[in-house]
Amino acid sequence: MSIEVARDELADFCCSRLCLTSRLDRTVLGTPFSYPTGEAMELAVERAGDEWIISDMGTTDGFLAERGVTWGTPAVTRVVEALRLEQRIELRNGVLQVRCRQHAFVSAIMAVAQGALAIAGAAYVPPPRMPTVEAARSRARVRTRFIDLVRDAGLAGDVDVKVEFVGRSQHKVTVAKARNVLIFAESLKQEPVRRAQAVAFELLDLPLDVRGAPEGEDAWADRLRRAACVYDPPTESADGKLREARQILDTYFEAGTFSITEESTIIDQVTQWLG
Amino acid sequence: MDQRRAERILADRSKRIRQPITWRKLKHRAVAEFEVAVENDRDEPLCFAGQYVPEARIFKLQLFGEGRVPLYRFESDKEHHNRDCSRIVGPHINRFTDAEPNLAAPEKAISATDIRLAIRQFAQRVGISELGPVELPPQTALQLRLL
Repeated sequence: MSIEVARDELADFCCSRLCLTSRLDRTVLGTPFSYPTGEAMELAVERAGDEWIISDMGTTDGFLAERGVTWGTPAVTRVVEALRLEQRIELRNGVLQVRCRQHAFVSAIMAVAQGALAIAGAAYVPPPRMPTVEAARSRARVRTRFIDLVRDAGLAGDVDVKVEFVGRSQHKVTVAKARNVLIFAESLKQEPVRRAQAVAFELLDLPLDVRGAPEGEDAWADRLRRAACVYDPPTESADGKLREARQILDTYFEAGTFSITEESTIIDQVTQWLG
Repeated sequence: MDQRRAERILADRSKRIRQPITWRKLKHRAVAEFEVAVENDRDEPLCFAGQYVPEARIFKLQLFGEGRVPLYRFESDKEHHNRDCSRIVGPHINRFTDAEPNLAAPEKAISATDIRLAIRQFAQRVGISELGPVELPPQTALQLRLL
Protein backbone atom coordinates (compact mmCIF):
# COMPACT_ATOMS: atom_id res chain seq x y z
CA MET A 1 0.00 0.00 0.00
CA SER A 2 1.37 3.39 -0.94
CA ILE A 3 1.48 6.28 1.48
CA GLU A 4 -1.10 8.07 -0.67
CA VAL A 5 -3.54 5.20 -0.31
CA ALA A 6 -2.96 5.13 3.43
CA ARG A 7 -3.58 8.87 3.58
CA ASP A 8 -6.84 8.49 1.65
CA GLU A 9 -7.98 5.65 3.89
CA LEU A 10 -7.21 7.70 6.96
CA ALA A 11 -9.09 10.65 5.52
CA ASP A 12 -12.09 8.41 4.77
CA PHE A 13 -11.97 6.99 8.27
CA CYS A 14 -11.88 10.41 9.92
CA CYS A 15 -14.43 12.05 7.66
CA SER A 16 -16.92 9.22 7.93
CA ARG A 17 -16.98 9.70 11.67
CA LEU A 18 -17.58 13.40 11.55
CA CYS A 19 -21.28 14.04 11.80
CA LEU A 20 -23.76 16.44 13.33
CA THR A 21 -26.92 15.30 15.04
CA SER A 22 -29.51 17.11 17.08
CA ARG A 23 -30.42 15.84 20.52
CA LEU A 24 -33.13 17.77 22.33
CA ASP A 25 -31.73 21.23 22.87
CA ARG A 26 -28.26 20.90 21.43
CA THR A 27 -26.14 19.90 18.51
CA VAL A 28 -23.92 16.88 18.97
CA LEU A 29 -20.74 16.53 16.96
CA GLY A 30 -19.42 13.05 16.22
CA THR A 31 -15.61 12.90 16.15
CA PRO A 32 -13.07 10.37 14.86
CA PHE A 33 -11.76 10.00 18.40
CA SER A 34 -12.70 7.26 20.83
CA TYR A 35 -12.01 6.50 24.48
CA PRO A 36 -9.57 3.66 25.23
CA THR A 37 -12.50 1.26 25.53
CA GLY A 38 -13.69 2.03 22.01
CA GLU A 39 -16.55 4.33 22.96
CA ALA A 40 -16.74 7.07 20.38
CA MET A 41 -16.30 10.61 21.59
CA GLU A 42 -19.14 13.00 20.94
CA LEU A 43 -19.09 16.66 21.81
CA ALA A 44 -21.96 19.06 22.38
CA VAL A 45 -21.83 22.35 20.53
CA GLU A 46 -23.97 25.20 21.83
CA ARG A 47 -24.28 28.86 20.99
CA ALA A 48 -24.20 31.35 23.88
CA GLY A 49 -24.42 34.89 22.55
CA ASP A 50 -21.25 35.66 20.63
CA GLU A 51 -19.55 32.54 21.90
CA TRP A 52 -19.63 28.84 21.34
CA ILE A 53 -19.58 26.33 24.20
CA ILE A 54 -17.99 23.00 23.41
CA SER A 55 -18.46 20.27 26.02
CA ASP A 56 -17.93 16.55 26.44
CA MET A 57 -21.42 16.23 27.99
CA GLY A 58 -19.95 14.42 31.00
CA THR A 59 -18.95 11.33 29.07
CA THR A 60 -15.35 11.55 30.28
CA ASP A 61 -16.70 11.66 33.83
CA GLY A 62 -18.70 8.55 33.01
CA PHE A 63 -15.51 6.85 31.82
CA LEU A 64 -13.76 7.76 35.07
CA ALA A 65 -16.71 6.84 37.31
CA GLU A 66 -16.97 3.42 35.75
CA ARG A 67 -13.40 2.77 36.82
CA GLY A 68 -13.88 4.17 40.29
CA VAL A 69 -11.60 7.10 39.52
CA THR A 70 -12.41 10.57 40.81
CA TRP A 71 -11.32 13.96 39.55
CA GLY A 72 -9.20 14.17 42.69
CA THR A 73 -6.95 11.35 41.56
CA PRO A 74 -3.46 12.91 41.30
CA ALA A 75 -2.77 11.73 37.75
CA VAL A 76 -6.13 13.11 36.60
CA THR A 77 -5.82 16.34 38.56
CA ARG A 78 -2.49 17.09 36.89
CA VAL A 79 -4.01 16.78 33.43
CA VAL A 80 -7.08 18.82 34.34
CA GLU A 81 -4.93 21.59 35.75
CA ALA A 82 -2.74 21.64 32.65
CA LEU A 83 -5.81 21.80 30.43
CA ARG A 84 -7.21 24.66 32.45
CA LEU A 85 -4.02 26.67 32.21
CA GLU A 86 -3.04 25.90 28.65
CA GLN A 87 -6.35 25.36 26.86
CA ARG A 88 -8.79 27.20 29.15
CA ILE A 89 -10.84 24.04 29.48
CA GLU A 90 -13.04 24.16 32.56
CA LEU A 91 -14.41 21.33 34.65
CA ARG A 92 -17.96 22.06 35.82
CA ASN A 93 -19.71 19.37 37.82
CA GLY A 94 -17.97 16.65 35.91
CA VAL A 95 -18.43 18.24 32.49
CA LEU A 96 -15.40 19.42 30.49
CA GLN A 97 -16.15 22.53 28.52
CA VAL A 98 -14.54 25.45 26.79
CA ARG A 99 -15.94 28.76 25.53
CA CYS A 100 -14.60 30.23 22.34
CA ARG A 101 -15.24 32.79 19.63
CA GLN A 102 -16.00 31.84 16.06
CA HIS A 103 -12.39 32.11 14.89
CA ALA A 104 -11.23 29.59 17.53
CA PHE A 105 -14.06 27.12 17.01
CA VAL A 106 -12.05 24.30 15.46
CA SER A 107 -9.14 24.56 17.85
CA ALA A 108 -11.59 24.53 20.78
CA ILE A 109 -13.15 21.31 19.51
CA MET A 110 -9.73 19.73 19.15
CA ALA A 111 -8.71 20.95 22.60
CA VAL A 112 -11.73 19.39 24.33
CA ALA A 113 -11.35 16.13 22.41
CA GLN A 114 -7.64 15.85 23.12
CA GLY A 115 -8.15 16.93 26.73
CA ALA A 116 -10.82 14.29 27.29
CA LEU A 117 -8.53 11.65 25.81
CA ALA A 118 -5.62 12.77 27.99
CA ILE A 119 -7.78 12.48 31.10
CA ALA A 120 -9.15 9.11 30.07
CA GLY A 121 -5.61 7.95 29.34
CA ALA A 122 -4.41 9.04 32.76
CA ALA A 123 -7.12 6.96 34.38
CA TYR A 124 -7.06 3.97 32.09
CA VAL A 125 -5.84 0.58 33.13
CA PRO A 126 -6.50 -2.54 31.05
CA PRO A 127 -9.64 -4.43 32.08
CA PRO A 128 -9.08 -7.17 34.63
CA ARG A 129 -9.08 -10.80 33.64
CA MET A 130 -11.38 -13.27 35.27
CA PRO A 131 -9.66 -16.01 37.24
CA THR A 132 -10.26 -19.56 36.17
CA VAL A 133 -12.63 -21.81 38.06
CA GLU A 134 -9.60 -23.64 39.45
CA ALA A 135 -8.09 -20.40 40.72
CA ALA A 136 -11.38 -19.43 42.32
CA ARG A 137 -11.62 -22.80 44.05
CA SER A 138 -8.06 -22.48 45.22
CA ARG A 139 -8.84 -19.08 46.61
CA ALA A 140 -11.93 -20.38 48.34
CA ARG A 141 -9.75 -23.01 49.99
CA VAL A 142 -7.27 -20.36 51.07
CA ARG A 143 -10.05 -18.31 52.50
CA THR A 144 -11.62 -21.19 54.40
CA ARG A 145 -8.32 -22.35 55.78
CA PHE A 146 -7.38 -18.86 56.76
CA ILE A 147 -10.59 -18.27 58.65
CA ASP A 148 -10.21 -21.63 60.38
CA LEU A 149 -6.69 -20.73 61.27
CA VAL A 150 -7.72 -17.45 62.81
CA ARG A 151 -10.42 -19.18 64.82
CA ASP A 152 -8.20 -22.06 65.87
CA ALA A 153 -5.60 -19.63 67.05
CA GLY A 154 -8.14 -18.25 69.48
CA LEU A 155 -8.03 -14.92 67.83
CA ALA A 156 -11.72 -15.09 67.07
CA GLY A 157 -12.72 -15.66 70.69
CA ASP A 158 -13.56 -12.26 72.05
CA VAL A 159 -12.12 -10.64 69.03
CA ASP A 160 -14.43 -9.32 66.40
CA VAL A 161 -13.06 -10.86 63.27
CA LYS A 162 -14.21 -9.33 60.08
CA VAL A 163 -13.13 -10.74 56.83
CA GLU A 164 -13.22 -8.85 53.62
CA PHE A 165 -11.81 -10.22 50.44
CA VAL A 166 -10.98 -7.91 47.63
CA GLY A 167 -9.16 -9.56 44.88
CA ARG A 168 -8.72 -11.87 42.00
CA SER A 169 -6.37 -14.58 40.89
CA GLN A 170 -2.79 -13.72 41.79
CA HIS A 171 -3.52 -12.06 45.01
CA LYS A 172 -2.00 -10.76 48.13
CA VAL A 173 -3.45 -10.94 51.58
CA THR A 174 -3.21 -7.88 53.69
CA VAL A 175 -3.82 -8.16 57.38
CA ALA A 176 -4.18 -5.56 60.04
CA LYS A 177 -4.57 -6.06 63.72
CA ALA A 178 -5.87 -3.56 66.15
CA ARG A 179 -6.69 -3.78 69.82
CA ASN A 180 -9.93 -5.63 69.37
CA VAL A 181 -10.54 -5.97 65.71
CA LEU A 182 -8.80 -7.93 63.06
CA ILE A 183 -9.57 -7.45 59.45
CA PHE A 184 -7.82 -8.81 56.48
CA ALA A 185 -8.26 -8.53 52.80
CA GLU A 186 -6.61 -9.68 49.67
CA SER A 187 -6.14 -7.50 46.71
CA LEU A 188 -4.37 -6.88 43.45
CA LYS A 189 -2.45 -3.90 42.23
CA GLN A 190 -5.09 -3.08 39.68
CA GLU A 191 -8.10 -3.58 41.91
CA PRO A 192 -10.52 -0.80 41.14
CA VAL A 193 -10.25 2.10 43.52
CA ARG A 194 -14.00 2.11 43.92
CA ARG A 195 -14.05 -1.30 45.54
CA ALA A 196 -11.11 -0.64 47.80
CA GLN A 197 -12.55 2.69 48.76
CA ALA A 198 -15.96 1.21 49.42
CA VAL A 199 -14.44 -1.44 51.64
CA ALA A 200 -12.43 1.12 53.51
CA PHE A 201 -15.22 3.50 54.17
CA GLU A 202 -17.93 0.93 54.78
CA LEU A 203 -15.88 -0.83 57.37
CA LEU A 204 -14.83 2.35 59.05
CA ASP A 205 -18.16 4.07 58.66
CA LEU A 206 -16.24 7.10 57.46
CA PRO A 207 -17.51 9.88 55.29
CA LEU A 208 -15.73 10.02 51.97
CA ASP A 209 -13.70 13.07 52.86
CA VAL A 210 -11.61 12.26 55.86
CA ARG A 211 -10.22 15.75 55.97
CA GLY A 212 -13.71 17.13 56.35
CA ALA A 213 -14.44 15.17 59.48
CA PRO A 214 -15.88 17.57 62.03
CA GLU A 215 -14.70 15.66 65.07
CA GLY A 216 -11.04 16.27 64.48
CA GLU A 217 -8.18 13.84 64.60
CA ASP A 218 -8.57 12.82 68.23
CA ALA A 219 -12.10 11.67 67.68
CA TRP A 220 -11.00 9.74 64.64
CA ALA A 221 -8.36 8.04 66.68
CA ASP A 222 -10.99 6.76 69.13
CA ARG A 223 -13.08 5.43 66.34
CA LEU A 224 -10.22 3.92 64.45
CA ARG A 225 -9.09 1.91 67.41
CA ARG A 226 -12.31 0.00 67.17
CA ALA A 227 -11.95 -0.83 63.53
CA ALA A 228 -9.24 -1.53 61.07
CA CYS A 229 -9.29 -1.46 57.37
CA VAL A 230 -6.96 -3.17 55.02
CA TYR A 231 -6.59 -2.73 51.35
CA ASP A 232 -3.94 -2.41 48.77
CA PRO A 233 -4.46 0.74 46.77
CA PRO A 234 -3.87 0.50 43.05
CA THR A 235 -0.55 1.85 41.95
CA GLU A 236 -1.12 4.26 39.12
CA SER A 237 -4.71 5.30 39.68
CA ALA A 238 -4.81 5.42 43.44
CA ASP A 239 -7.22 7.95 44.74
CA GLY A 240 -5.64 10.73 46.73
CA LYS A 241 -8.23 10.50 49.44
CA LEU A 242 -7.72 6.78 49.70
CA ARG A 243 -4.02 7.29 50.15
CA GLU A 244 -4.71 9.87 52.77
CA ALA A 245 -7.08 7.57 54.59
CA ARG A 246 -4.48 4.84 54.42
CA GLN A 247 -1.87 7.12 55.96
CA ILE A 248 -4.23 7.96 58.77
CA LEU A 249 -5.01 4.30 59.34
CA ASP A 250 -1.37 3.42 59.35
CA THR A 251 -0.92 5.82 62.22
CA TYR A 252 -3.11 3.70 64.41
CA PHE A 253 -2.74 0.21 63.10
CA GLU A 254 -0.09 -2.28 62.43
CA ALA A 255 -0.52 -3.79 59.03
CA GLY A 256 1.26 -6.54 57.20
CA THR A 257 1.18 -7.50 53.56
CA PHE A 258 1.93 -10.98 52.33
CA SER A 259 2.31 -12.28 48.83
CA ILE A 260 0.63 -15.57 48.17
CA THR A 261 2.60 -18.22 46.40
CA GLU A 262 1.16 -21.35 47.98
CA GLU A 263 -1.58 -21.87 50.50
CA SER A 264 0.73 -23.06 53.21
CA THR A 265 3.09 -20.23 52.59
CA ILE A 266 0.60 -17.54 53.18
CA ILE A 267 -0.92 -19.18 56.20
CA ASP A 268 2.49 -19.70 57.69
CA GLN A 269 3.42 -16.13 57.00
CA VAL A 270 0.26 -14.71 58.46
CA THR A 271 0.28 -17.01 61.47
CA GLN A 272 3.79 -15.96 62.25
CA TRP A 273 2.90 -12.34 61.84
CA LEU A 274 -0.19 -12.61 63.99
CA GLY A 275 1.94 -14.12 66.69
CA MET B 1 -10.79 -14.27 30.84
CA ASP B 2 -11.87 -17.85 31.31
CA GLN B 3 -14.36 -17.89 28.46
CA ARG B 4 -16.06 -21.09 29.53
CA ARG B 5 -16.63 -19.74 32.98
CA ALA B 6 -18.05 -16.47 31.64
CA GLU B 7 -20.42 -18.37 29.37
CA ARG B 8 -21.53 -20.61 32.21
CA ILE B 9 -22.28 -17.54 34.30
CA LEU B 10 -24.35 -15.97 31.54
CA ALA B 11 -26.24 -19.21 30.91
CA ASP B 12 -27.00 -19.77 34.60
CA ARG B 13 -30.65 -18.88 35.22
CA SER B 14 -30.37 -18.92 39.00
CA LYS B 15 -29.15 -15.33 39.08
CA ARG B 16 -31.39 -13.02 41.08
CA ILE B 17 -31.36 -9.51 42.50
CA ARG B 18 -33.25 -9.11 45.74
CA GLN B 19 -32.40 -5.54 46.65
CA PRO B 20 -34.11 -2.62 44.93
CA ILE B 21 -32.23 -0.86 42.16
CA THR B 22 -31.64 2.64 43.47
CA TRP B 23 -29.65 5.25 41.62
CA ARG B 24 -27.35 7.71 43.31
CA LYS B 25 -26.14 10.95 41.83
CA LEU B 26 -22.45 11.44 42.47
CA LYS B 27 -21.64 14.77 44.06
CA HIS B 28 -20.04 17.33 41.74
CA ARG B 29 -20.06 14.81 38.95
CA ALA B 30 -21.96 14.34 35.74
CA VAL B 31 -23.19 10.81 36.31
CA ALA B 32 -25.72 8.80 38.30
CA GLU B 33 -25.01 5.17 39.10
CA PHE B 34 -26.35 2.04 40.74
CA GLU B 35 -24.66 -1.19 41.65
CA VAL B 36 -26.31 -4.26 43.18
CA ALA B 37 -25.09 -7.72 44.03
CA VAL B 38 -26.40 -10.61 41.96
CA GLU B 39 -27.10 -13.72 43.99
CA ASN B 40 -26.75 -17.07 42.30
CA ASP B 41 -26.59 -20.76 43.10
CA ARG B 42 -23.04 -21.04 41.81
CA ASP B 43 -21.76 -18.60 44.43
CA GLU B 44 -20.16 -16.44 41.79
CA PRO B 45 -19.41 -12.93 43.04
CA LEU B 46 -21.45 -11.02 40.47
CA CYS B 47 -22.76 -7.51 40.37
CA PHE B 48 -25.09 -5.56 38.12
CA ALA B 49 -24.30 -1.90 37.57
CA GLY B 50 -25.76 0.97 35.64
CA GLN B 51 -24.61 4.43 34.75
CA TYR B 52 -26.60 7.38 33.42
CA VAL B 53 -25.03 10.55 32.01
CA PRO B 54 -27.84 13.14 31.95
CA GLU B 55 -25.97 15.71 29.86
CA ALA B 56 -25.36 13.19 27.11
CA ARG B 57 -28.73 11.44 27.62
CA ILE B 58 -27.09 8.04 27.51
CA PHE B 59 -27.02 5.10 29.89
CA LYS B 60 -25.19 1.84 30.10
CA LEU B 61 -25.94 -1.39 31.95
CA GLN B 62 -23.33 -3.97 32.84
CA LEU B 63 -22.96 -7.36 34.43
CA PHE B 64 -19.63 -7.85 36.18
CA GLY B 65 -17.96 -11.05 37.26
CA GLU B 66 -15.42 -11.68 39.98
CA GLY B 67 -12.93 -8.87 40.38
CA ARG B 68 -15.28 -6.57 38.48
CA VAL B 69 -14.51 -8.23 35.20
CA PRO B 70 -17.06 -7.03 32.64
CA LEU B 71 -19.14 -9.87 31.22
CA TYR B 72 -21.92 -8.16 29.29
CA ARG B 73 -22.70 -4.53 28.58
CA PHE B 74 -25.48 -2.56 26.96
CA GLU B 75 -25.05 1.05 25.86
CA SER B 76 -28.14 3.01 24.96
CA ASP B 77 -26.91 5.43 22.35
CA LYS B 78 -23.20 5.59 21.95
CA GLU B 79 -21.13 4.98 18.90
CA HIS B 80 -18.50 2.30 19.35
CA HIS B 81 -15.33 1.82 17.31
CA ASN B 82 -14.28 -1.82 17.21
CA ARG B 83 -10.65 -2.78 16.90
CA ASP B 84 -11.23 -3.90 13.33
CA CYS B 85 -12.30 -0.33 12.53
CA SER B 86 -15.93 -1.35 12.18
CA ARG B 87 -18.28 1.22 13.59
CA ILE B 88 -21.42 0.45 15.56
CA VAL B 89 -23.83 3.34 15.76
CA GLY B 90 -26.67 3.52 18.26
CA PRO B 91 -27.73 1.02 20.93
CA HIS B 92 -25.32 -1.88 21.17
CA ILE B 93 -24.07 -4.67 23.36
CA ASN B 94 -20.46 -5.43 24.18
CA ARG B 95 -19.13 -8.94 24.64
CA PHE B 96 -15.77 -9.67 26.22
CA THR B 97 -13.70 -12.58 25.04
CA ASP B 98 -10.00 -13.34 24.86
CA ALA B 99 -9.99 -12.88 21.10
CA GLU B 100 -12.07 -9.71 21.16
CA PRO B 101 -11.97 -8.10 24.58
CA ASN B 102 -14.58 -5.48 23.80
CA LEU B 103 -16.56 -6.33 20.70
CA ALA B 104 -19.70 -4.31 20.05
CA ALA B 105 -22.72 -5.46 18.08
CA PRO B 106 -25.98 -3.63 17.35
CA GLU B 107 -28.82 -4.31 19.78
CA LYS B 108 -32.42 -3.49 19.04
CA ALA B 109 -34.22 -5.73 21.50
CA ILE B 110 -33.29 -3.68 24.57
CA SER B 111 -34.97 -0.31 24.94
CA ALA B 112 -32.68 2.68 24.50
CA THR B 113 -35.28 5.17 25.69
CA ASP B 114 -37.08 3.61 28.66
CA ILE B 115 -34.45 2.91 31.28
CA ARG B 116 -36.73 0.87 33.55
CA LEU B 117 -37.73 -1.36 30.69
CA ALA B 118 -34.11 -1.57 29.54
CA ILE B 119 -33.01 -2.79 32.96
CA ARG B 120 -35.65 -5.54 32.92
CA GLN B 121 -34.80 -6.54 29.36
CA PHE B 122 -31.09 -6.55 30.10
CA ALA B 123 -31.65 -8.63 33.22
CA GLN B 124 -33.63 -11.13 31.18
CA ARG B 125 -30.91 -11.22 28.54
CA VAL B 126 -28.16 -12.07 31.00
CA GLY B 127 -30.26 -14.66 32.83
CA ILE B 128 -31.31 -12.75 35.93
CA SER B 129 -34.57 -14.46 36.79
CA GLU B 130 -35.66 -12.26 39.70
CA LEU B 131 -35.49 -8.51 39.83
CA GLY B 132 -36.82 -6.25 42.55
CA PRO B 133 -38.21 -2.74 42.20
CA VAL B 134 -36.38 -0.47 39.78
CA GLU B 135 -36.12 3.28 40.32
CA LEU B 136 -35.40 5.92 37.72
CA PRO B 137 -32.20 7.97 37.95
CA PRO B 138 -32.64 11.15 40.01
CA GLN B 139 -34.19 14.12 38.19
CA THR B 140 -34.10 12.36 34.90
CA ALA B 141 -37.60 10.99 34.54
CA LEU B 142 -38.67 13.89 32.35
CA GLN B 143 -35.55 13.71 30.19
CA LEU B 144 -35.98 10.01 29.68
CA ARG B 145 -39.57 10.46 28.56
CA LEU B 146 -38.40 13.09 26.11
CA LEU B 147 -35.71 10.94 24.56
